[in-house]
Amino acid sequence: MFKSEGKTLPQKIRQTVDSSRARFQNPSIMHWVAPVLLVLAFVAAWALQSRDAQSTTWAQLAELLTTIFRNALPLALLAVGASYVIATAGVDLSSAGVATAAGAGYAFFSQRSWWPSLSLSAVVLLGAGVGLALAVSINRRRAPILIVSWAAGVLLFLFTRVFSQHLQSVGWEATVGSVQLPSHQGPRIDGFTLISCYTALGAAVILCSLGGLSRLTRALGANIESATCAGIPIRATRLATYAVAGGFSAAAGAAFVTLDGSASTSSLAGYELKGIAIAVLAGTSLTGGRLNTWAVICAALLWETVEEIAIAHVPAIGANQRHASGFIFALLMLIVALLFGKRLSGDTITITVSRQHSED
Amino acid sequence: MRTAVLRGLALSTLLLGACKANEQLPAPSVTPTANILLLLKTADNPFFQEMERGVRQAVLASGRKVNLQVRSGDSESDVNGQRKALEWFYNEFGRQPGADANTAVLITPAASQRELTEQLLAFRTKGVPVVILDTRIDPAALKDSGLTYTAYFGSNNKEGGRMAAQELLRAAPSPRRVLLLGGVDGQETAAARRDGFSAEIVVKAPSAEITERTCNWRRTEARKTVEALLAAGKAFDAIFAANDEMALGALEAIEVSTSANKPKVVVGFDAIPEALAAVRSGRLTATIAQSPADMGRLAIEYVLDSGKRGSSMADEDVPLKIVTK
Repeated sequence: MFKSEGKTLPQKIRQTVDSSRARFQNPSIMHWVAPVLLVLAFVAAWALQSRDAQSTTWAQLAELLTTIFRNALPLALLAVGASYVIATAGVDLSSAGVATAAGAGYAFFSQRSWWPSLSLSAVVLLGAGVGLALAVSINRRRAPILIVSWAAGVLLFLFTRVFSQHLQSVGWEATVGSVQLPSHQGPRIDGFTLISCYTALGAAVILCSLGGLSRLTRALGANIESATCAGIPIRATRLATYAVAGGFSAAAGAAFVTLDGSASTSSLAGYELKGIAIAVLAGTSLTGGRLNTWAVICAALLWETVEEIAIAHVPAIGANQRHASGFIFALLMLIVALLFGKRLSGDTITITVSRQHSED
Repeated sequence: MRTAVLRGLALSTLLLGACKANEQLPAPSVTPTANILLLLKTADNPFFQEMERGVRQAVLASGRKVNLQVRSGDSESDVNGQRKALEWFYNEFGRQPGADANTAVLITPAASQRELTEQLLAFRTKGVPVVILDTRIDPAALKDSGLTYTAYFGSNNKEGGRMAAQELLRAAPSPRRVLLLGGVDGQETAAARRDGFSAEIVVKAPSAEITERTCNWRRTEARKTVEALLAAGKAFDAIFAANDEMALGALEAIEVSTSANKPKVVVGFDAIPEALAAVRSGRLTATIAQSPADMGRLAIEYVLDSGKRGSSMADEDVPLKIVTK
């Protein structure tokens, strides 16, 4: 008898195939939408820049690309983490809280003159720890992830406030609402650092893919009963998924702080929804089972390119360019939803297992 | 069964205890405690933290018994959070008999139109003083809603904007393009600083082109806005940010930009500690110092002084000064 989520399945099915050899459906058209739109948006941004600046030099193009990639980095990290969880048919609302706490921690460690890589490792471990705690609460207590992760996020926001207040009271560079990075000369993220960051992100995604996390999360989200029957370790997969998502959120927090020069306790509120929106635009199904992390990174870059165009070139609504970028993005999402609605809708996906019929 | 009996016993003991406690309640104090609500836009901004510090010091200095309740919204534009805090305070203290004598509301409104007038009017109807700090409510909205506040203590933000423009022109005498980073749309403070700044630039440097962007008082938004504009090939000679958080965000953007036409002059507003450090190190050209602690002190002195409290409407601007290296 197989057990799934504490419930005994009615049928007797023997595991007849090695789960690592199972193939799962992952329709790919949706995953091409974000990359294609990204290329179009890049071209549009470049064309608009050429029009305004009369003559566009390679240096200006490089600056445009650097700006987009730099601002998209934390969003991409947040969205990749979110997409792993969404692929399991869950939603992690704690990601912004984790990023905020991790950001404050990163700023604090930097003030203590820790090496950036050491500070980053410490906060990524913190984020992974929060993710593990969430996964354990689901595995052991069968707690609803939406409520648990939301509560964890709120508690982390509050914890960060108390932490920053304490730091202020003992004389560190902090106020009730923020923890500052030490004063610096020159850019904190230069071209080399940016390339290193994206290389690390790509390596992390490849590692997750090679380690089977992408495949297992999709199987889990597609149909948990079938996944159980296929011999997939449900609980271990969930633990790994939430730990990885927490780690990505924490890394996003460190990136935000590095860009801003200060870890604010409120500026990331609502970013968990941004992460989810980007993941969905990349074809990650909210009902689980579909994921392409490269498309998620492209969607984050698309998001930033659209903001770049809106801020620099689109007439403002009032004086607020963000309304314009919100308008453009909402329009994009609407078009995508109407064109690819069926693929985004909540159909249960059947896991196709190349099963050897070796019935006794 | 046994558990039920034990639970019943425990409940009865609690109820009896409660009754006894009620019987032993002391008589009300002869000197009433003053109940004061300090409602800030947000507790995250050092400007409002300084205001709170001023209020607390004034309360201590007064020697009065004060029940000070400090509340704030989640962000500078969190009207809903402020509305809930006002409603809670009204239900808790505002509707009590004698509230007009021992209750007061000090508020930095998150919006300047009719968003909060209904809640404030409820206090005024009961005779509770309402003191506005830092950000005014639009006179037309006051007239429409029939609200009259008791006092205003703040800065002349229009004058502050004008001073910022003068300092900017001193550092960059003939700018061709100036970037103005504004606060939340529709807030009186944001509008006054923008108007004061723009009016002075139009008079003193008529050839300068002003580009305005709204960044909602936030550092991240200002950073991204300046980065995007510089990356798009736009050139600016100087930047005026309507608060220091945005000025610091602009500085971060300028420092990472490789553009040859980076602005050399950035002027902020509020003089928060981080901005003062940036001015000292030469990163930030100047900032306009308000005295939020003084605003808080004046407000407390006003509401705790029964003579002033009953007098006509007070309207006082706290002086501003320019901070440079």
